[in-house]
Amino acid sequence: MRTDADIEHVMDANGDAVWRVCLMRMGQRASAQDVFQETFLRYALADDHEFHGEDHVRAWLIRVATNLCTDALRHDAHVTQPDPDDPAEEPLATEPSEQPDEALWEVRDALNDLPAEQRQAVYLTVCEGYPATEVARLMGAPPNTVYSWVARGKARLREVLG
Amino acid sequence: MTHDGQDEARRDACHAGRPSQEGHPAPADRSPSAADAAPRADAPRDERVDQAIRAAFASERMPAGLKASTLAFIHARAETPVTGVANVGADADT
Repeated sequence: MRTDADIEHVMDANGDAVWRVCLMRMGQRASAQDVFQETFLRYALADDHEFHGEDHVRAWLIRVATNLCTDALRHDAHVTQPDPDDPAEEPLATEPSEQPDEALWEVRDALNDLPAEQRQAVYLTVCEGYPATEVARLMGAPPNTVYSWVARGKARLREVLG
Repeated sequence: MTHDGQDEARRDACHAGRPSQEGHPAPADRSPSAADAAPRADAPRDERVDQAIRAAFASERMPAGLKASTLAFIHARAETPVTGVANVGADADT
């Protein structure tokens, strides 16, 4: 197993990105935390896996988190029915201390309204800087589908921003 | 994206609030409102959208305490074989 120092370093460098992927796919913080922890457990146990730099580690974590989310959602769909009294949380929440401007609220609402896969594709492309072909590999989707997700997501946000 | 700054941009463009594509310079002020007020002249609309997306995601951070609880989880589970997830493994290597 990898050392605590190694795991902490990787979590410090990639924790926010992995957290966002988990949260935007799972929709619930409790479920996102479960997947987040499982993702880093996989990293801790993959001590025979040779990584080629920080970017490789990050891409590997995002891919593992994405796969774990897909599996968890597939499992949940089989064993549970949606509870109308327990709606999904907003993937992009606001801390109580924050007072974002109105435009930012609108963007957050628009992002929260996007389908989870579309939202993740937009995030990986715009915030993480991955090209669509790499996003396709990370998400296990055809590149043309990723292009479509990003185009639709950004088109919606252009509408919001006017 | 094919420019030389791609790797750096990937590391954490969202945290830093900086544009990640085509070598755009980092904004002097990372706040969303300031970024929106000064989009690049050559791509004002798309860049404004990208800046707004980065600002929206940047505020979502790993919850306090999650790192410690994850380390505790890892230690608790380290001796237990991982099973039940078919599509996580070799294909995770990108």
